[in-house]
Amino acid sequence: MPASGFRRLARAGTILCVAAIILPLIAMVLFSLSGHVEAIPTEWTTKWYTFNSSDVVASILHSLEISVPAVAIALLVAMPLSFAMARWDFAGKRLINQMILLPMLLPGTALGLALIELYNTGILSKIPALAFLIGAHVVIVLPVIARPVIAALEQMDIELETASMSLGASPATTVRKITVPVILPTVVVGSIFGLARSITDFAITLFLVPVGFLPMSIEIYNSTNYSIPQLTSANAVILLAMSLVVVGIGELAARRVSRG
Amino acid sequence: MVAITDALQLDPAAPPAGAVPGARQHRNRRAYAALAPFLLLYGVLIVIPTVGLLVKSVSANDSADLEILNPKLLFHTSFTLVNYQALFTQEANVQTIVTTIVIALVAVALTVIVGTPISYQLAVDRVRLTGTASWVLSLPIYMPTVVIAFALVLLFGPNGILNAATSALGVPVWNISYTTIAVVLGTVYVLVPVYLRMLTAAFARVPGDLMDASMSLGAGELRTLLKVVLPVVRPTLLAAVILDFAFAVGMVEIALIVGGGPLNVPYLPVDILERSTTFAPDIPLTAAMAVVLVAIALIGQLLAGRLNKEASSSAR
Repeated sequence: MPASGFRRLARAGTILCVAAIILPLIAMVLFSLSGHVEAIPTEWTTKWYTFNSSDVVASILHSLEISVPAVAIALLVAMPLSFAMARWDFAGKRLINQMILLPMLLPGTALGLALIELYNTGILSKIPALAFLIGAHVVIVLPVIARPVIAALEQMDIELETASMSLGASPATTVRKITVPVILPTVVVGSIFGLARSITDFAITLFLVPVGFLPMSIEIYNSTNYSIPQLTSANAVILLAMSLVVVGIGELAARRVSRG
Repeated sequence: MVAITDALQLDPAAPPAGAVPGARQHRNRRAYAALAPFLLLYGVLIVIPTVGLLVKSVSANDSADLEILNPKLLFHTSFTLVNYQALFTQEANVQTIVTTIVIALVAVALTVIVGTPISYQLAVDRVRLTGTASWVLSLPIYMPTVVIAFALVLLFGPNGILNAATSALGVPVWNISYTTIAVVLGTVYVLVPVYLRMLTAAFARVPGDLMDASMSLGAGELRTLLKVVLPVVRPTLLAAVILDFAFAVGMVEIALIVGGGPLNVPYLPVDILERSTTFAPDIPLTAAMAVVLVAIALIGQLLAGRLNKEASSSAR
């Protein structure tokens, strides 16, 4: 069937939209390589990437200091939660199913405001600010990990586990040899996307970040107003690359999972 | 690990419900043991602060802590709707709410106009590079919104590539940085990928026979899309519109960075952020603003959930 006029128009729309998505990013990369404040560099340089490299390294480390423990703790919380949700029937299950999603739904400024006021209250203010910030990140990462893991456990063939145990394997062995290998890829993919969610968070982090602690997203926001635009561009390109690499690894892993 | 082994040990051989007295209680207890860390985490960091914010918004306590955890303060608190009254009657606040809703509505409308034919094309038109286009168009979902916002500030600004292009062509200089138009376009940038993801999946579920039948009867492709395909995906389309609207209203990064702050483009989440960093923030009023955002997000999710259920039942 020859392409109709409408279909040709829709294709043109898709191409334009792809261009519109990519153009600002390419312009930003060009800007970060420009010696002067101009859209098309006349003088190419990489000096903005090394201009304050110790600050950039520090803020990458600050991001990881929040995100890595947050993902690790979220995993520990998500595992028993996912098992209970996928395998057992209990009172209040539907409510909890809805509750899991809450951190994804609540607007960041509302949750951030509520959390900083919680932190200001009584004994809670004795907790180190960084620990509280990590706690908040555990919450925003949790649904990203728990949702796919619950789905994987629901799809998993329970007969495998039953067969393993009826052949004499202990529950512990069955978990180690059957359950873990089946869901591990999903757990890894969920953790990678959780890491990306945490690294790219802005609103909640801005409310809770301790004084002098500058993870990448906050560092970039702070420098949008007063810093040299090429320098901010370079930092933004680094954060963009970090998140796309993390997500890219996640997508590749996810594709291998779905292929089996 | 204890919970996991427990699951395997008990579940395959678990007695049917009601067979053994107390089996139900036992199962509930076992489940809640596994859920304990989750319930503790969400109880402390989601439920308490959200309820606390709600109580704060109907109180007269201009303090940045939660009275629900402070019995002495809670006892002396006088409850009032004056914060909501101020939010919906004071001119500056009303302007902020109106601007927020107008920007979100216009951005969603543009998203639907741009996104609907594109998601249709991505779903049914299997040509070379469709997969690549699909992938590129999904990227902004995972990109840091702060970075997107900054890239757009550069793009829209006097030194941006668009300005360089328009001035080279000799047309009036393009500089829309820190304007409402820039915030609308920036919001569209973030919304389109979310919209495409939902709609492309819905278009892909529409039976090909349906379209073939319509077109073999002589209807053009556009007519088929409007009269045959769109009615089928309508629940999903409405759900996507509602979710995108709630998402736009709650999103702070674009309005803050592309809009250049509340003095340029007033926006509800930006106002919350700004008030929290000033010396005279009026904390209960700020809480009322946040409660309005939460309400929009939760009502939106509820409506979208209903529509999605409708979509999946009509697909069957």
